[in-house]
Amino acid sequence: MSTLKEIVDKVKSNLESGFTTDETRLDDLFIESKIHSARGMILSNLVRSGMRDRINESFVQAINPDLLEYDEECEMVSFECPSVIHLDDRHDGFAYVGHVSGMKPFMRIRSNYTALSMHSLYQKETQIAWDFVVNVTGSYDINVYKNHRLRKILIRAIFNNPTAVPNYRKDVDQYPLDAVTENEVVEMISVDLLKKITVVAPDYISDSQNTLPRR
Amino acid sequence: MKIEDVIAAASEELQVSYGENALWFKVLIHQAVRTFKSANALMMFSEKVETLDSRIKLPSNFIKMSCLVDLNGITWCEDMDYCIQDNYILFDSSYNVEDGIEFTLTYKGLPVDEEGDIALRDIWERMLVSYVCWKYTRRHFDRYPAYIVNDFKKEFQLQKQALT
Repeated sequence: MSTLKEIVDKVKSNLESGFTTDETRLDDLFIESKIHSARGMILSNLVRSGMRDRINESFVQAINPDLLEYDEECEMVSFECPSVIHLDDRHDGFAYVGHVSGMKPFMRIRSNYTALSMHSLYQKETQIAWDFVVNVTGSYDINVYKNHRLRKILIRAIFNNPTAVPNYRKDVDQYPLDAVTENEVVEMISVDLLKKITVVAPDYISDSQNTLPRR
Repeated sequence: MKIEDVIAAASEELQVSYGENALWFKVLIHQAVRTFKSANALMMFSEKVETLDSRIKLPSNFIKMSCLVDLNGITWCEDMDYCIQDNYILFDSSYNVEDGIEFTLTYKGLPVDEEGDIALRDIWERMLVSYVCWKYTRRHFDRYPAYIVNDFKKEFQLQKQALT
């Protein structure tokens, strides 16, 4: 498995016919953002084409998020959470939200825009529940209900930007991809970037020669 | 058995996340249990209840009324002296029933545990799991072929029939 830096180098190497140099006009951050998008696109396509089985633990990252605030009156605790990938119209990338032991998942109140929290069963519910929400500043939170004393949780999920996960080190930590998907990502980006950087001179004159028009 | 056991078994059968679906599955299990009015499933309960706002709130496990008797031993008749609406016993307004009057309510209901939640019997597990799976596969019809949906439906119906 490769680090993000290694994947970036593979893309650069593809673009420069096998040579890897520092002389490239493509910025590393730009290629990194392309890698995040390509990864998301491939995962989403796998789900949409009924190949969910190919999504495995290699794509998942685990975090113990920071506590943001707690509200005793509403019995709610908020934790910071990076944005999670959206796989299709019904599924996102959460694999586990629950007790730090990893053995006790909490109930999710809703997925997408469903409203099970309106059901009287939820009102009577005593077990811990959670919800993933966007707040007014545009960042994402996990709100945990029914236990305001909770201070630590474990989240295992597929994140949109794996480098945004707290304590992720680009040069050391492996990028969350399996070997098959890594190759797909590298090829997808290489082809896309090649199209952009290869400039073909316009040949308007039909004389079987590459002739540029006079200006 | 606990409701969580059924949810865990159904999640495993469908290979879906427990946390993502627990609340919905809980709702489905309650649906299945509440509509399962088999004589074998129901138990007879008797408890003291009090009127409030000319009505009495029914217990959460209530299914069928047996009788309502006041402290003088007089039996009140359903549809004549009172009617049942929305989990409440509503008295005929002509009786001017005051608050705090005690009755003995005898009814048929589902078994409950110490916390007042409906207690599930072990032999219901297969019926409830197949009901949850049927509803889940029907909702996600694009991921499951029709024969799988019908298979779960048939299993639920057969199990329900066997337990009746």
